[in-house]
Amino acid sequence: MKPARFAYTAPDTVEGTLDALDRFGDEAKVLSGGQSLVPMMNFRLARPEVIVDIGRVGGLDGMSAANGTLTVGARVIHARLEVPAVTTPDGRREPLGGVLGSLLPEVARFVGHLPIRVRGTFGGSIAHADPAAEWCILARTLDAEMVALRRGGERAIPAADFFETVFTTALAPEELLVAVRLPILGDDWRAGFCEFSRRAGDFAVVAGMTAVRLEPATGAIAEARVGVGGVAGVPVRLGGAEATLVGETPGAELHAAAAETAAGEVDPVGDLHGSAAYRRDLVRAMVARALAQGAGASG
Amino acid sequence: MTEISAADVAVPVVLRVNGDEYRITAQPRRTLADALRDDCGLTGTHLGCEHGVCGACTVLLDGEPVRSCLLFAVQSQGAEIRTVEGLAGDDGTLHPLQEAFWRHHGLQCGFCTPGFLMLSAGVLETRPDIGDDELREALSSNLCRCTGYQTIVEAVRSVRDAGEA
Repeated sequence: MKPARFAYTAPDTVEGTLDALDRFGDEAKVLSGGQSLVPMMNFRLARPEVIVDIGRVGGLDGMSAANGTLTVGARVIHARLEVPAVTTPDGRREPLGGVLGSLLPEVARFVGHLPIRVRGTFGGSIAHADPAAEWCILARTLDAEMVALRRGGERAIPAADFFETVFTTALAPEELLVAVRLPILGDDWRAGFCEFSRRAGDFAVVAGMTAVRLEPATGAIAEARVGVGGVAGVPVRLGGAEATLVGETPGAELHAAAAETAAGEVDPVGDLHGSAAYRRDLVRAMVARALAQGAGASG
Repeated sequence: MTEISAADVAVPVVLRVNGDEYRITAQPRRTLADALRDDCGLTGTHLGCEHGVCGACTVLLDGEPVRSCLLFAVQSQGAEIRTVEGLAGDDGTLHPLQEAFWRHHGLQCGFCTPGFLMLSAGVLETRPDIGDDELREALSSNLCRCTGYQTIVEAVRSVRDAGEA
């Protein structure tokens, strides 16, 4: 349970990091909070030749809101999303309100345990790409954009393209994830998140997130997003469940129907944490509960 | 170009633990837990699972409880580290949390105790008014195979209620 040997560098700038990644290519692995990478290294499931530690790089831990987008720096620790606050253009720090302001703490409290949440980072979790990780499910459900830098270039990768398979993303070896852009949901959105794990703080067996936009005049659902994790190699969007919701009025019956559709359109593989049938049942329950939570009701 | 430390070479590392400075040499792969135990001689920090699940190796890093098996010594330079050795007074007077664990039978074999003490110290120092549910959730971070947890919860709650941490 000791990691294999690796060479180590801890640049203090983004430029220095990009230089190191450019130089070492796929021999290098970026170390952020290390709460997922280091366990894998201790198990020797990961044996990077070179560790590029970004713990001393400044400027990656900001949160700001502008033009309907919340930008979360890659090195923002999970604990800060339990009480999300943004820095305004004039340098003041103010609490993030609105639907995201309520949703992010709901999600953050499911991420590991307190000692994990004060070290582990938002960007680290996204780049690690565990298919049951809360932030990956959130990013996929809300169609987040991942901002990747390389020497001499920047690109924004949509969540649909970013998560490729288990622990695998579209990030190139010489690219650094510097921030994630989330759409700030307006007050006409209702969002919920629910997950099931066997022990407090464990990775989810299944987690579900929903977000619906209501037509102000009629209260009917104009747009719906349903995302789940724990049923495939990446977090998935459930188009069938989303279609069931659109045009209808939220309520227990509709939520049950959407959850039923969701359970029917996933194709989970069973493992020792839960059989395929069990995971399917969990999808039904998690989607229904996330919808109910979003609607502010129980059940 | 930023300096690179080679994989098989031990580099100088300075750790600040319980207010004392430890100048050691360590390979980059040396975890903080191993550095504390083997290089600093501070064997109060215990290692259970070595993959971040059990919490036996919990220490305070700049006031927050962290798993020292998931940190490399080289990463921990410049931080203020506290271990269980720093809890009692120089004259051996127990810290209120240590007293409370004793009084409430918050330990039996004692293996997990340093981790639970440091977790509790970090939680109560940064969140002195923590509610019962949040405290229970925070204490779920660590594993204990003897007590069934209830006595640990009672011990930490008593220190919180007395405002002693």
